[in-house]
Formats: sequence, C-alpha cells, structure tokens
Amino acid sequence: MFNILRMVGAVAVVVVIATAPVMAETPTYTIQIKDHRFIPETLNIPAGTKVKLIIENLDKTAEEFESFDLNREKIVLGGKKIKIFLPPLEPGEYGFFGEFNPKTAQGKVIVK
Amino acid sequence: MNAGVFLVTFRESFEGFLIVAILLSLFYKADNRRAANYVLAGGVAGAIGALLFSMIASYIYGMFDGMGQDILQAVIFLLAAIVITTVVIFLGKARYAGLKSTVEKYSDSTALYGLAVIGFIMIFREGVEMALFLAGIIFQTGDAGTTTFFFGIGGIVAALLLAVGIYALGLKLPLKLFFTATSIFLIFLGAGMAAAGIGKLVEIDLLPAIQYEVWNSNWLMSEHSSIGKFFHTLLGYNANPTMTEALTYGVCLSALFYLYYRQNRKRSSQSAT
Repeated sequence: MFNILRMVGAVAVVVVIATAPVMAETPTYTIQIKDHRFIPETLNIPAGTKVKLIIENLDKTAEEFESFDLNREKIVLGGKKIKIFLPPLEPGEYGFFGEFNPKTAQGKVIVK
Repeated sequence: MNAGVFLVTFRESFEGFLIVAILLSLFYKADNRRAANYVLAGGVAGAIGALLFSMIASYIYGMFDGMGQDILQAVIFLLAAIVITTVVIFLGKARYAGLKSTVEKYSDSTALYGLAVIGFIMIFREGVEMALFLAGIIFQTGDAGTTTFFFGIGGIVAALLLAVGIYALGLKLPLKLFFTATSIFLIFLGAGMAAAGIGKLVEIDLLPAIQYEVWNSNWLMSEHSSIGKFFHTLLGYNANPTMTEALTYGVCLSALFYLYYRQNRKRSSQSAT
C-alpha cells in the first residue's frame, strides 16, 4: 500500500512541476462536426511538432472523437467543443472517426 | 445502422459486466455473500450513477478549461487502481490463510468497500458513454430512432447475458484455480488502470510522455479488434503506449505482484522461526 501511496505522491509532484511553466504557443486547428460528418474530413498538419485540435460539435447529439492511430478517444457533447493535444508526429496518414456514427463520421489527419 | 448500434452497446457494456461477473462468481463460490453483495450493489449504483451523470455531463466536462472529461477519467482510473490494490492485498492474505475460510468470513470493511467501488467504477465508466450514445439516438431520429434505441438496449442485454454465462462458468471452476486466475487478472487490471489514468494526464499535456509510442504492435493485434479489446480490458494491453504509460504499467505490475505474493514470504519466515 505504501508503495502505491508513495507513487501517487510522486505523480502529484510531477503534475505540479509539469503544469507550472506556461505552455508555448501550440498550432491550433479546428474540426467541426455537422450532420455526423467532420468538416474538414482531411486535415493537414506539420510533422514533428505538438498540435492542438479543437473539435466543435454543431450537432445536437453527442459524438465520440476516436482515433486508433492517434490513440485518442474523447466525447464531444452536442453543441460543445473539446480540445485534443497531439504529440509530434511522423509524416503519414492518421485516421479518426466518430464512434457514435462511424458510417458517416470519418476523417484523417495528414502529417507532412 | 441497427446492427452497428447493437455492436457498439454490446462491446462497450460487456467490458464492465465481465469484470463484475468474475468477481461475483468468485465470492459466491466461496460462500462470501457479503462480498458478492458489495460488488453487486456497487455495480447497480454505477448504472444509476451513469444515468444521472449523463444529465450533468456537459457541466462536468466543461470544467478545467474543457479538460473536465480527461481529468475525471484520470481520477476514475487512478482511483480504480488504488482500490484494486487493496483487494489484491486482501486476496494475497486470503490465499495463505486458508482459502475458503478467509474468503468466506472476511469482513474487512476496507476490502468490502473496495469491492463496491470496483463494481461501481466498472459499470459507471462504460455506462456514461452508453447513456450519452443512446440519448443521442432517441434525440435524433424520432420513430426510426426508437427502433434503433431498442437495438442499443438489446446490445446491453446481450452483453449482460454473456456475462451471466461467464458467471455460471466461473461457478463450475475449481475454487483454487479460479481464485488464482482472478487475483492475477486483477493485478493486470490494476496496472492497466494505473497506466490508463496516467495516460490521460499525458494526453492533456499535464505529464510528459518522455517518448511517444515506445512500440506499435497494432499490426500484430490492434487493441480495437475484438480480441485486442478483450486483452485491453483484462490485461491493460496498449498497442502503442507512451514511455510514461509503459513505465507506469511495468512499475505497478511489479508492485502488485509483490504485494500479492509477499504474504507467502511472511508466512514461511514465521513458520521457520
């Protein structure tokens, strides 16, 4: 038990240290969801740099932004926005989809 | 559309049911009804909690500058890891104190509440997602939506039935084998939960990743395929973890195995003297 408590403590310290410095300006891109489709469906982003995605859901229903390639999974409620941080990526294509409407909600990030 | 909805609810809700079914089976088998009732009560509370939560989700998710969802998930995962640790320690003790008598009579309130919390978390986690998903279906398509909605409910019921089948199967296994299997499964689950919780904090840039994608075994087994999902749920399998997640998993796995098996050493050193 003490091992675990100590580890939780250490994690808390790291969290505080990591959040202390102001984050540098991160390139930000917005993807909208409308009628269960992503707009745009293809997004170009630069390689090797952290990127912030804003997913804005214009539908009234919730959607789950999900990507196996990017290892992300996050719910966007109807009429809300979420932020997703992407790590520096290698050039290539990274697919994503809306788990609640996978037939229509498909998209990809192209890293160049 | 309908078949797709069925599959989504089936897959997602089965994860939660599976873990609850395994725990229930173990404790009923060991005649520890009290422990089983705690797991069950936790699970039922988790389902009700998920329904209530889905109504206020937009408020909670909006907290912390839109990071409420990630923070909440991180807290839930880490809490689950801590609670699973208490249960693993209990199982470790039970193992060497005479299996059946201890599991049967054990009434340490910490472990009992721990079991209730595990039941709650496992059902709540997937339940929130299901509730939001099904609410969206009802909301969007009127009459056609109602049919689709029932396919969604059907998926949950099917998952529940399969979990009941696994529960019944568990009752047939020899207690000792089943006990050991459950313990080891919980050790992996605990480590997986810890790694997932830390992973969420890495995702929102609160913790450094150290290295992105230490390996990528999606080609071998995607964690989103049916089999991969199974390993993901049971063992915390991650096909492309960050260094931070991989380290957390490794450290927690070792710590949990140590906590479980150290009871053995204590006991043998006592009997030696």
